[in-house]
Amino acid sequence: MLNIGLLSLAFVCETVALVVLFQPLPPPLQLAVFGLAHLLACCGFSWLLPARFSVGKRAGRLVLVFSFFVPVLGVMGMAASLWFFSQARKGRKRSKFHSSPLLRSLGGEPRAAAAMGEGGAWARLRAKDLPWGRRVEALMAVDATSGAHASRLLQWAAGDGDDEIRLLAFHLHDGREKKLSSTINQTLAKLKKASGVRAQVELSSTLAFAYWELVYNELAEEELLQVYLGEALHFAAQAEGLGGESLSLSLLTARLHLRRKDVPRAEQAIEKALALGAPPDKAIPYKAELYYMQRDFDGLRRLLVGEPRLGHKPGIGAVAAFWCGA
Amino acid sequence: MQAFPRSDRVDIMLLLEGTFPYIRGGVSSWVNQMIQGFPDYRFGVVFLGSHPDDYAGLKYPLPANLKHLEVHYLYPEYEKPSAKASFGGPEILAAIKSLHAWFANPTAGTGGDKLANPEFIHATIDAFQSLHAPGSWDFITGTYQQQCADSSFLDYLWTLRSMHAPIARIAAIAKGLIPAGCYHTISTGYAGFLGALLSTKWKRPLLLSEHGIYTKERRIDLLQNDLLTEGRRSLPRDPSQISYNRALWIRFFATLGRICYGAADPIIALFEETRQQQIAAGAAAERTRVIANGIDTSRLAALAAKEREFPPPVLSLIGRIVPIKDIQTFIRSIRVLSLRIPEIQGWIVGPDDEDPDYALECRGLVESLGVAGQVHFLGFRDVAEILEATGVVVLSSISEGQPLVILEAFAAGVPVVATDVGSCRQLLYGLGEEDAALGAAGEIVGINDPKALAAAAAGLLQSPARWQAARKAGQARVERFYTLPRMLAAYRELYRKGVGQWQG
Repeated sequence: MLNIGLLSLAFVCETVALVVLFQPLPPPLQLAVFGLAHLLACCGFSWLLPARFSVGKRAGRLVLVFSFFVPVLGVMGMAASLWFFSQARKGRKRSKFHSSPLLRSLGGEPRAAAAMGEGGAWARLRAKDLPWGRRVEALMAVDATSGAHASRLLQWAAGDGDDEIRLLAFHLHDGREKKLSSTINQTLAKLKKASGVRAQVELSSTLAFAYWELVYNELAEEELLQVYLGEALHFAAQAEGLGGESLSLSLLTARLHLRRKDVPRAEQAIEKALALGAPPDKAIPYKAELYYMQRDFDGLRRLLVGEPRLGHKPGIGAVAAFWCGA
Repeated sequence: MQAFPRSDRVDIMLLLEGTFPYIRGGVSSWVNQMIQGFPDYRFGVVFLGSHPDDYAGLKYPLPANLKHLEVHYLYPEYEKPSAKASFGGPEILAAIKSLHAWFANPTAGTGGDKLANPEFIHATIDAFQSLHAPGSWDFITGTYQQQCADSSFLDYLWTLRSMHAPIARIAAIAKGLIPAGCYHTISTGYAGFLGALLSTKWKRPLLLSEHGIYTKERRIDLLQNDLLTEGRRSLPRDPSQISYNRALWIRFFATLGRICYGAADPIIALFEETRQQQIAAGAAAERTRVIANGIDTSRLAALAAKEREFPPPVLSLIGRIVPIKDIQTFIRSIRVLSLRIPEIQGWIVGPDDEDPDYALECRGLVESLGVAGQVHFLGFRDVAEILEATGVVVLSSISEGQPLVILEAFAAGVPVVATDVGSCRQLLYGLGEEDAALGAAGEIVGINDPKALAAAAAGLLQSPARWQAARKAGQARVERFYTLPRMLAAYRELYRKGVGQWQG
């Protein structure tokens, strides 16, 4: 947000600096007032330049020096860039931490990363001139794997120009969603009829986890994923409210809040899971994710250093090694 | 049991697999329309179904000029093969081997005159089916050892039996069917194979009008069918490889398709893309042609003439509740749309008895998405009544030919949002300069994309000017290119040639 007061002050200072040059004053006084007012204006403009567009402190000082030694044009240039960056580019979408370098594991296009995990299935599916049989083989290979990457590939192939590839991909993707939907429908029906608290807790937990599976495997588009997230949270809270508190439910709640980027609630749920006896090597990766979202990199490093067992765990091991500098 | 009309001869014999008069839908409506459109011809229908339990009575009143109706099931209750001695000998075994070679390599021609003779096929397959012909058992075990010894022999044996049984039944139908001036099949597959046998037997022409590519649809069914076991579970298996039995089924239907394409002339497609697919599947290009669907626009003209300033916030999906219509994407799109237009209503208009499990899943999805107040299952209803209250007709199908429901929506002045399948793009945006100049009659979106579907529908509902323009474009397009008289005139010419001197 632009600080209007500081902006106005900077403009007033620069105007004073210019006006004083044409006043009948003694030259030393004229120079002193001009220098001071111009310096204040330059500092004001440098301060206002949005942090994400400056390249560290050194660059900020360079801009300040440049505008100071190029009196009128320098300040006008700064004012113009200030307006351009803070107003004209306001609507551009940026990832939350776009100015901090991405982790190696998060670098590059996600789809390309998925392709690497699928042994080249992505490349084969994308090659339109490949014989039909080869592309079907690729699709079958993708279907033999699980997780969000496979869902994304199947979803992507469901938009293929070839009718048969498209329909087959759709059926395979739909089949995955159908398995979970059918669990949800059956459990919802049972929950409606359930009278005992124990049964209600069990069914609510099943529903929370089933909805989470839909989200985790990315078996719907973002809008619907938000609906499913809401449902998962609702049933997790319902199960806990009925006395079904457990570390697995607390961890699930933490993951749901993390997916929603609701940091305080996620933190609360992780702490609860730890208090309920969640093994640190299970809970800490989520806590680490939380620190990362808060940009508390020192805290993140301390956390991972404090749990050396994570360094040997598949998946998180490489991340822990990266942050611990191993 | 209902008595069906019987005759000793007809002008045109329609060969139908799983459609009219037992199943409602676009193809069945088309068949009904065709029979009624030619009151001067005597029609016969051979209905091929899977199992009697799969069909719950006639769904259409039988037209007056339908003079002969036969119903046959390809997979009736399992009957133990009769244990009578079968004829055999080297000649039969050679024929069986030749038949298998023909099916194994569909591109290798039609397999000779003998194989196109239904009586011969019936006799050989009957012998083979009951395993009583000399050498047949050795042949089966030998092929198994050679082709797929790493999978279950029982799976292989039952795969063969499941293939042979309908072929033998079709050969028996061909043997006993009354004569006709010409045969008209609406698909390749079993009906097309029957057409090829009849056309050879009676030396009468066979017309093929494909609404979708049967071979392709079967291939997709087979590739994702969980009922076909891979049979190699005990051994490490490459998941990208299709099992031998599955591949065998795919080849089997490809061969049935080729046999039908070999016998049919003309081979009719609803639009150019399908015609190209027919050629790729083995049809001779010079025998293919395109005849687009047409509808009786006068039935809905009153609706089209009605002035409507604003679109009602109602999206209607008119169609059977079956997976191919992807009803679930429609339901999800209503969920997305309800965030933008809270008063939105989604009507699902069509019978739900064809796939009750899927219908149940759809109702479950409505519950789990919390859109029970917005989505309504109306069952089978009068299309005119529904279109009158509809703002936009939605077609979320994953596969279509040339949907009559789009043409009906156009005729009633209702814009359409449809998926990019079949000829939907051509119908909505036009084909060629003259057609495209009429404007867009709605919007095309990708399949399985509720967000895009919702955005497209919202775009039309929230912009009355765009909605009005789409209404007009649709009406103009259907009146100019897709009328019933236009379609019937094309078929009249073909029937006239086909029936020839038959009537006299």
